[in-house]
Amino acid sequence: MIQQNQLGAVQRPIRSKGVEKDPEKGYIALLGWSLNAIDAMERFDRRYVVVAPSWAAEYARDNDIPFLEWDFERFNERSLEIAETLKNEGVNVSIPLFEETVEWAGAINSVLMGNPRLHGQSILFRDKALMKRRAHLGGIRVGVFEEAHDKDDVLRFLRRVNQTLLKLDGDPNDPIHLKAFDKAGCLGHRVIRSPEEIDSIPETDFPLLMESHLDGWEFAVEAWVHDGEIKFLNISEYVTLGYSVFVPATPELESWREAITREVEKLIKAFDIKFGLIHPEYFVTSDGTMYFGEVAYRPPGFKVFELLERAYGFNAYQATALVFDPKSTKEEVDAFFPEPVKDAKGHAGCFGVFPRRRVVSELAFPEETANHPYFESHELYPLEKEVVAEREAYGTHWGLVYFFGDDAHTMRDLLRHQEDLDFYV
Amino acid sequence: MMHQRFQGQGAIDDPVLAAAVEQFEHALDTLATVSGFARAGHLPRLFNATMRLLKLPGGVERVHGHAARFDSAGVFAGSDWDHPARLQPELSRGSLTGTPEAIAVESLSRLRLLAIAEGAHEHPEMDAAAARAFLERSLVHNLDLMLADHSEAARAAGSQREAVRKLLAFELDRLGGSRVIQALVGEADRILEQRPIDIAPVRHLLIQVERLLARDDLAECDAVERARYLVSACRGPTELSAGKIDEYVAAFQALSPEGREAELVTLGQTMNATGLVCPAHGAVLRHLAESGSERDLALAMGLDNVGTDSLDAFEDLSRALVFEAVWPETAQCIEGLSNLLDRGMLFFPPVPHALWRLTRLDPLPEVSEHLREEFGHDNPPSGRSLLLAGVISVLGLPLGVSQGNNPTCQSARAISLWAQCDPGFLLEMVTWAARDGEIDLHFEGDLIRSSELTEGLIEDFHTELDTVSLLLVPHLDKIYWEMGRRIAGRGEDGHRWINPEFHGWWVHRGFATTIDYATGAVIDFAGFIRRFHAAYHPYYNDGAELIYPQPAGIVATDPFGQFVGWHAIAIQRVALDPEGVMRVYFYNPNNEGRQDWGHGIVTSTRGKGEIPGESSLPFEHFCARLYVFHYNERDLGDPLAVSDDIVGSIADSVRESWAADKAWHEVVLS
Repeated sequence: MIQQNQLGAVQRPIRSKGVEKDPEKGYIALLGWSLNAIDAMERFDRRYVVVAPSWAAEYARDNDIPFLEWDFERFNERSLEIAETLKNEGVNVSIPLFEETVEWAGAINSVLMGNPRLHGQSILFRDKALMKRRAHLGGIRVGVFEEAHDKDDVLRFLRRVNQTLLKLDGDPNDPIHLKAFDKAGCLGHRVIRSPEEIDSIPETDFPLLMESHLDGWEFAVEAWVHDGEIKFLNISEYVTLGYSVFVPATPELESWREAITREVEKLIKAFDIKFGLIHPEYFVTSDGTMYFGEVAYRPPGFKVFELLERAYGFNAYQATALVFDPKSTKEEVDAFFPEPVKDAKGHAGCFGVFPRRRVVSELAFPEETANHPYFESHELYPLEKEVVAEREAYGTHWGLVYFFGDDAHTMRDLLRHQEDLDFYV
Repeated sequence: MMHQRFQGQGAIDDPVLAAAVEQFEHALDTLATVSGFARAGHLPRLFNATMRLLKLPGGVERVHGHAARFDSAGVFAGSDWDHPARLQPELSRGSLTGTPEAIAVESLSRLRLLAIAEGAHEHPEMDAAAARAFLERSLVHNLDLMLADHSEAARAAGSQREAVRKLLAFELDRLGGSRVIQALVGEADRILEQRPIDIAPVRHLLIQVERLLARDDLAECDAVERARYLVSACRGPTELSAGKIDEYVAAFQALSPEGREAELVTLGQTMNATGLVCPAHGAVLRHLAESGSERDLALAMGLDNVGTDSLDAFEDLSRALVFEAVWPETAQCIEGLSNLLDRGMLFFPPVPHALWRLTRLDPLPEVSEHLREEFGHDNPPSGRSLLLAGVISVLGLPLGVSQGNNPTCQSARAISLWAQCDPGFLLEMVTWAARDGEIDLHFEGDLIRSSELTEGLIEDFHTELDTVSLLLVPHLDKIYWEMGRRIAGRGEDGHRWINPEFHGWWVHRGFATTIDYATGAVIDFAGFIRRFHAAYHPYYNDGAELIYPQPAGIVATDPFGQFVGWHAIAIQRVALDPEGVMRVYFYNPNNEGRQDWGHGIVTSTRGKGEIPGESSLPFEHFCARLYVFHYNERDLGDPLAVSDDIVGSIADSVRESWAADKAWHEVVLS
């Protein structure tokens, strides 16, 4: 019989399905609810349990998914309880699936692995200002940054940065970027060019991180680290930040792979990362100088894991479980990953749709996109009534459109072209 | 990830197909691998890849190659399709004309059923015979989806229709069998009985039939025999005529006199029996027009006594018409020419002159180019030949004019009525449009020229039409629109004034409608129906025949009797059918006379005394869909002679149907 669904007790499936679990290998806890991650674990030889809020409990029970109910909203004195529960359950490691669970994973893993430093490390990933300092201290090139507590701080930073750049009165300002300390990717990201724009920042956004603008080509990396070594490094090419990404990157960006690998190694050293999946972002300038943007200790957004599986055939969630699992052997890890770029069957990309018109009333998927041989699927929903589309800062897209094809440049141009199309009218 | 490919489906040369196959196989492999709860997220990719493959040449076959895996991969898990025994062939239409996702899953299901029928796959719920029966029934229900359809709905569905067409053609090919042939031939026959001018849809059906006939495993039966007959009527009903077209005339000349006569008799009889003409028929008729005897020509065209007399009286003109209009490519117009002669059209005094003029008329270059482009042939004859062939067809088969899928029932009806009542005027207009690029009509004393107008009903002219319609409808449509503009504001249905001016003086000025123009309410229905009886029903109008066909308006309804739209038709005659039922025989310009208007009102096109091309309904049924008619005040019987029972039963039927949610006002006599 299934166990009662109660806080602090693992809800076990009645019947096991999927791949036979190997008791000699690690027992994994997934922090956060992701159907694709759960599916990947179903099909993997490690035992697993999903730790997620109560709203997922019924679904988990109906679908025989091992489940432990936990509310990640607040990190407090009860936090040790979840770590103890997982330890008693025999779990070896927890994997954060979302930005909000990164610190939890650090705390839990420090208990499970008897290594208190893991919690401290996770805090570095959660606070962008601390993160930048740590990178700076590690000899990694970063832009100029500061914390802001109010609008005056922003104004002062904007002036100082442009003063430093020896701008004269009347010269257009170099923009600065504002980001929330602890949010994923583009959420809460604003670009400020003039003092007038500062007024539009809501008070609730403070405190926040300010950064100077870096000119250059922005891209992201996903690196699977085992025993302090990079086992697989993917370069994700952003066609336009916040709109689209594809893997593997164009040959032009891939030509920087050696230099990028060296930068990621610096990062691993600076943050003292022994295992796991890291997702840093960089800018490369035309002369090859690499600037560090930020790093996350969780799967990237924009379904890059799914793109990787489409391009290479390996499951990136399973890869992540593998490098997190303290019981994985070097041989097993080495055998798991393909050779970057060379082993890819094609390029997989996706485009995040934002309505371009202010008022939209229906989904009108462009015929030319649907008919393009690279188009594979989309997850856009039809509208039921007229909607006024707000796009505040870098908002959340309305759904992704997936593509797959042979040629990197065709993919890049195709993704860029999508920005000129109306998906909602 | 491993890609399972089926044997016999080796490397693909076409990179587009190869990429689509990869997408499909990857999506299917993924679906087969993932846990049940994650499947839904992967179905869109499979469905998109399915649609893409279905549209590509050779794609359906590739999808079918994987059909045995669909069930185990969970393609249908959690849906109705997971239980094939519960699926109903009658309901497949909803899916095949639905969203791309619905089409995709229905297609995958059908290809799975095909695999079951072929023994390549087993399902606990369905055996091979049941799967086969399902597909056969479903195909018969969806035959029209195999035809080119340019209706608004089909146009909106775009390439999805193409995918469905390819899928069904593939199923037909794989299933073969006499039952499917029976259904296809039945459909072809029911269209042909109406003798349409444009027979492209029939030819398309017969191409499907021909493919099926090529199979070895076909059991002989009446349907297969009929199928062979119709296909041979298209390709050539004799051994010689089915051979190479370039060698046909020489081979014909080499026959003995008896052989030649037999050949001509077969050609003429086959054409008369089916309405189909083969290319060789065109070649031999040209040869006869130059050097054959009058008797040869009459045999080749299958003429009756009137036709033979027409040929005798207008021999030079007849030969000139053949010589200018008939080619192997335009051979179908021989059916029109034969009917034109049989109907004695040449004895209408203006017709021979107007036709002589057309044999010498070269249309404007842009007109010629347009006609040749739309003719849909690699090497089309000259614009003059095409135009003349079209004119011959319309004069021969005036009830075969169709509006196609344009909203131009008025213009199509006008062409048909002119071809019947005023052919000289029709030929004048054809000449103006071809030579001058415009036509003109008068309305209430003012000249209206099509070349000065821009507005019309047509937004996107659908060109699968006969040649005369192709030429005239764009002009007529604009003039009709302009007349409508001029009567705007009069507060009454404008057809009262437009119909007599647009169609001709012989449209009666008496006008009755039961729709109140301002409110849309039904008004004085009883009076309306009494008057219609008094004007048209021989028992109530002292047996006055209808001299000229009269335009009338009907309410088109769907098979549930629900309102669809206002539609223009022409009442041809009112007469007793062979079973003694009083019927209204009418011309329907949508040229698909078989219509189910709900509540048992189903129009008939054969077997009830119809002339080919006519539709008919029992008088009361017709009344239940009529809303506008013209009548002659001089020939009106006594409206009050019509019994209350008759009027009441028609009114009840209308109130259950198209007037269900309309206000209803009867005149109350005090």
